[in-house]
Amino acid sequence: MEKEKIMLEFENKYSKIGDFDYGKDIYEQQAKDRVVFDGENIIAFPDYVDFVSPSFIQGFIAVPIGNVGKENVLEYISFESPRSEVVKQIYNGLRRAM
Amino acid sequence: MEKLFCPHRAKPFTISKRKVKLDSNIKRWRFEFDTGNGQLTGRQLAQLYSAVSTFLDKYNSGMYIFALNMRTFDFQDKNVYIFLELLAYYILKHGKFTFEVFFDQPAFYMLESVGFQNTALYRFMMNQGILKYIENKTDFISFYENPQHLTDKWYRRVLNSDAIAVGNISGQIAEEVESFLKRYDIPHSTTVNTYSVVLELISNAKHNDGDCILDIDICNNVINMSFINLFDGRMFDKLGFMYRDDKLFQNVQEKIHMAIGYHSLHFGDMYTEDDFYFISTFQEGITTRLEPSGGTGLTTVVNAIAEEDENAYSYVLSGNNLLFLRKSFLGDGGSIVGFNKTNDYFRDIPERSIIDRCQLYIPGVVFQLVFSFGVSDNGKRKNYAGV
Repeated sequence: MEKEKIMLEFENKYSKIGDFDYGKDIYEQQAKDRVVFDGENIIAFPDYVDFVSPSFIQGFIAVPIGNVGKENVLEYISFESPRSEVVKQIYNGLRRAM
Repeated sequence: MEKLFCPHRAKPFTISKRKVKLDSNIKRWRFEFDTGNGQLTGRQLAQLYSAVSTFLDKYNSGMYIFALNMRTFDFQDKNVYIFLELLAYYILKHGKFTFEVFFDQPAFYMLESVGFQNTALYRFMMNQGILKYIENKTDFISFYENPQHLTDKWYRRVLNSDAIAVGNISGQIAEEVESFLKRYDIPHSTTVNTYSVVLELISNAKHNDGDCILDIDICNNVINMSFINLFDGRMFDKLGFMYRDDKLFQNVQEKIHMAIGYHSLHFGDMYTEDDFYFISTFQEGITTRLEPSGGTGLTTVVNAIAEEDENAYSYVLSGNNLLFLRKSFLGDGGSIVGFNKTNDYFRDIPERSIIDRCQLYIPGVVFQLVFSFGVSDNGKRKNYAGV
């Protein structure tokens, strides 16, 4: 099974990442061409990010949900960060999107 | 902003002959608007906007003077002086008549009014001496249009619709808010609550398209925040439109459909269909976005306020519709918010006391939010009054 790790980068090394449209843009710019839907994709947030808003993660996941459905999307995509609180924020945002 | 000055929306305001008098020294007509002895209220502000709309329409020439007489710097709440300042800005930018403001004495000890000393209106009146008179339009306008103000006790961001569309602007402003709050001994959880709310409000504003003002001041261990997003329409109009449209109905989810049957039995003068759509915008998963994953932003706002003191003075205003955010009617931070004692959105209507009307029609939306911090002598969190 193919495994792809996508390390996200953010302009100006912002520590707070927000909003739905920005999430969609980042998926489009940094993930869309690398995500494989017959394998495992790990989306990694850099250490300098200490807050990821629910809106961002819902924008980021909007296209993959459109591709494979809410019920399947987490079989293909997972998220990680060196900061446990960020991982918690991301999965809280995902839970609210489902 | 022009939409704030629509005479057809405001109650007709007649410039009475009794109040218009000839100033014999300078041969000009002078109209005086007197707010009386008490504080400037939202009702008076609506009358003031209506009067200025009439003035802009009928008396917009150098022959006329519009004088606002107030006794003290005493405002019903933060948004009253922010909209007063906005009114002054609009007049100075577009009016051809002279605009004067007179205050007798300051009263700065109240949370609702203390931030007034940060405003362009106060600063430029002070520069003119005891009887205040705005002469220097250019400096006032330049100060007001400055996109960012930051002092020890005040943070303001002014964003037009172009600025708000840029990349991670909400994250950037959340960083700025965190940095501003670090000047105070504020618990981390309160800081996170505050900047996460700011982030979601700006995210929503991006969706609405329109100009924004974020204004935060600190007083008596309270973070006093106002967020204004001016756009065409009201924040709940699109939801109602989508629900009523057969093709768009499926995007609005089933929750509204499940709730509206019961709620419609209670629609009347005091609780209207508009109010129903207003409270519906705060439910998780109800969104006007076409993507299947949105609709949580305003729930974040409500959940943050649900952690605050019962007496915290927080509300949302859109059009003439006013919704108070009171802890006891906001549930326990879940995805559904009843705005009632039972916290039931589907089979109970909102508490009567949290729905009200504002005479000033706001195109767009205004959030007045307070977050308290600090501990009083009895070990409990300080409340809204700082005690």
